[in-house]
Amino acid sequence: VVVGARRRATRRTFLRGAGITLAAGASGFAAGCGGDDSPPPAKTGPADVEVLNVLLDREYTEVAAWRRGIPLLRGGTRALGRQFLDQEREHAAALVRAIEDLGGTPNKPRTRYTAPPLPNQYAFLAFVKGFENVVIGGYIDALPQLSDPQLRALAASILTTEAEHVSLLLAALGEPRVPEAFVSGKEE
Amino acid sequence: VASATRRELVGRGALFGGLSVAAASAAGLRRTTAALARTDSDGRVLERAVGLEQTAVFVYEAARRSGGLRPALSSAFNLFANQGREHVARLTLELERLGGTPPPAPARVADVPGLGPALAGGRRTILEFAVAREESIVAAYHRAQRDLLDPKLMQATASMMANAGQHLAALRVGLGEDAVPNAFETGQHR
Repeated sequence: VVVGARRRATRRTFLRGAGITLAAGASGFAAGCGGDDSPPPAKTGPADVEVLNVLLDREYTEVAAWRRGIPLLRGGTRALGRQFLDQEREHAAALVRAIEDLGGTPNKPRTRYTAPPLPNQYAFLAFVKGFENVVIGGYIDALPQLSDPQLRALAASILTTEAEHVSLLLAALGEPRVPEAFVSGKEE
Repeated sequence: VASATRRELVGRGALFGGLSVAAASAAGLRRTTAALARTDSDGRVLERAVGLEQTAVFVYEAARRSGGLRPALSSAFNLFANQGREHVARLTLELERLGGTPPPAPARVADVPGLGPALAGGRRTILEFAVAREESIVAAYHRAQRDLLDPKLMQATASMMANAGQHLAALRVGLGEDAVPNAFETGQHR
């Protein structure tokens, strides 16, 4: 329990350093489904830009996390890390294009990201798995806020890839690779 | 003059009242029509998703019953079937809330085109068949993000899409393939 609390604390520290608030990320997914009082999707492009920029900031943070952690990885896990880093870069590039297509200005990556101490492969994998879950939760929260159906489809395709990353990270950590029927990004 | 004014006022009142009632009725009608369209559209998406999930559950169970799987793969298929049942239960609940009825689940191997030869072909063909089923589920949920109107259904189907993606990754590992071949998982890579 103490180890888990420490890991959560380090993740929070990292997210604070990256300018990201957990409360706006992984925690908003409602497990229940539709009611007639559901809010309608947002109606305006500028709102989409705002939502996409929040997602873009998280993708930049993921890129920074993978760049930081890859030197800690060994063998096949390092190759996997490189592949995931490339895919996170593709996500960021797609979000930048989407924002520009809407006439918005994409956020830039920060010049510096603060990372918690990550002494070895296991610590990094546990940390990055947690952050991938935060990102998944952010996309699920964002879906109803995106007014453009194509953007919702894009977001869903990215979050599903992130879920696939999480599955392989869980396997690398020796945990069940498909632990729940509904992927929410929430961690126990 | 007072009487004429009163008549005018009553007349205007009746006119405005009538217009108000007509306007309220038109607005009500528009709301009802929009709600029905939303229900119909979401219902069709859910009906299709239930059908795909029911078929995947049947495929996993049929593969396990075939007896040709090693314990680890059989155990994975059991987990995937159970998670598929959770999806079916959630989707059915939502479909029935919208007044819809789930399609009948497959009852025999012959009800699922291609399943018989896949089961006869051994481990690899079974895995490839399962990959194709999961890809069709991911593709359906991906399309659903464009078609669904209820925000909470968007989120619920996205969480099921992500789970199907995790099934896909595990199945690809079983086939010795790249588990995450694309940065954008849409279920349409083959």
